[in-house]
Amino acid sequence: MTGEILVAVEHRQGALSPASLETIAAAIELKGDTDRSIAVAVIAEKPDDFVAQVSKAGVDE
Amino acid sequence: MKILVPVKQISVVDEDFELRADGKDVDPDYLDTEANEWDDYSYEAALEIMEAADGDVEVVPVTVGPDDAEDVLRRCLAKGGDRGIRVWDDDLVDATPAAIAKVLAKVVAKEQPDLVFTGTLSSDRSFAQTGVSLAAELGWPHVAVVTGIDWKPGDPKATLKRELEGGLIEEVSVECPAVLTIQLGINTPRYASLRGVKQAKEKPVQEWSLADLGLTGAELAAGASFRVRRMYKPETGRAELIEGTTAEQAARLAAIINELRGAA
Amino acid sequence: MPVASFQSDVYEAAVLALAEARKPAVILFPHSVDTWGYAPAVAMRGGFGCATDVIDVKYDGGDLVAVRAVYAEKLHMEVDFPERETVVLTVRTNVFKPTEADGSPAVSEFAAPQTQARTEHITYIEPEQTGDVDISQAEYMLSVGRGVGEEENVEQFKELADSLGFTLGCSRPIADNGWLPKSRQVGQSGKTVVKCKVYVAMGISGSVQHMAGMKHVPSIIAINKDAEASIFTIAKYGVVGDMFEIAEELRGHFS
Repeated sequence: MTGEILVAVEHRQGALSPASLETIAAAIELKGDTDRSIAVAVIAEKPDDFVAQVSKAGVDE
Repeated sequence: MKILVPVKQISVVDEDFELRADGKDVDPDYLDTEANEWDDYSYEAALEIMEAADGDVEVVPVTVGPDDAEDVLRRCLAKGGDRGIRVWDDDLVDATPAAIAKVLAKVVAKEQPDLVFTGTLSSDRSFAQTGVSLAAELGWPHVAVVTGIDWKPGDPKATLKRELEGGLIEEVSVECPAVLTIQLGINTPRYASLRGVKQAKEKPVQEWSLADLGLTGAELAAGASFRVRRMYKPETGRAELIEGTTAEQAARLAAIINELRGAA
Repeated sequence: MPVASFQSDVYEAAVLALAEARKPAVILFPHSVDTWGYAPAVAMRGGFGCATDVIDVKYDGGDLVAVRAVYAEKLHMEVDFPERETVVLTVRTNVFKPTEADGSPAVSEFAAPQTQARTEHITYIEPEQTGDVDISQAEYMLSVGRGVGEEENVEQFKELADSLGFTLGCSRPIADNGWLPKSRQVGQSGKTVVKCKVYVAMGISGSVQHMAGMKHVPSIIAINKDAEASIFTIAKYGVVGDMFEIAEELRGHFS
């Protein structure tokens, strides 16, 4: 298996940016029928709230 | 104290154009050159600090570009500053932002400025990449999309405003030396006076090659951000054009507007 | 380590550490202001390939290929990244439709490395609410751009907008010049006109940043001197002509 697709999402003033979900969509489209996996990284002090928001179909980790 | 301001000569595509034989860029015959709009603001920001400091700050414009890119330096020097720097080498023709950043980092090493102001982006290729890449190459702190600067010579930190999405502004401080990428609207760039334009012609412009900076074309090519496969004219939508005399066009527009807003 | 708001040193270190640990083929970021402030540095420090403001990305065989717009959107540029193990791409906003469907990915924690933060967040300053209209709620808009030329020309377009029952907006240079308040600016650093149904753009060539705030409007009418202006690629109706002459004639229809 070849390298994964890592998505770095962003948040500001406690809210995930709408563009983050678009970037996850781009990752899913890029993955296509390859066997690459998609990992989404939330960089935050308290990432829990954002984790639920980025837990989208097609995301592996 | 010194502020180094990298500026760029950008290319504008003619209405009708042809691609280069290799299909990887527009044929230079169909490109006009201009100064990058963002750089008017970054240069102005540096000049304002210089003037407020009353002689304690030097402002130096630098460009990476061929012979005719000297114009953008003269354009800067017509507004202020005493000398400019131009770096060029034929190996830089298709240089990516990473390569330009490596070149500028060598210029910074020679010049030892306290601050570097770049434009946030350039309007021909719109990477918004060079300034922050330069900071990374130098290991310097950096702040992007700056719309306000509070710094005077000797200050260990600058207090800045960053323009975020939707009109939100963030106030941040940054340790110096630092690279700032400057956004439109931070100031009102001045126009050069005729006297300034005349004086600028006499101001020295140092010319450096890659070798002068201890770099090689092969080294830069190895660190390229990307390789261009091709350029092409995209298929785009096209408005239904309303033809006729101005009166006819306006009448048709009025009818369309009335219909769209559901008026009688 | 506290990361309440964006801090470039901390974000760079975190993504670089993740990349070191996981060796991803691609790192995707949104092409946003925060990303402008650190993704290129991640690429530079990691020795990664990099393309910003990407509008399409795919695998062509084993090669990662990204597409981005150049020369004022007139051309597209297709790039690849030979011999790069990892590539940083920033993805233009409003191109990909946000993923809606929820899933249940595995969740793991990754301790961000200790990093010295060399910038410090002080405060956020909310955009001015000048008691002026909220253009994000306007259904009908008439916006003016650079083509308006001078400050004293703005008033006649305000009057035209009023007579149409439209809300007056503008593009960035008009707000930067102080000819109209920032609250009237449409675009990435201004407002997105989410409720707008009809948008009349006069003397606006259509920068990416402006179009980000209005290209979703179902009926866009563009009036511009330059037949090649980008705005005509998203408009439904267009007039190639002088905005002042058109405005003069339009006035007669709405007085």
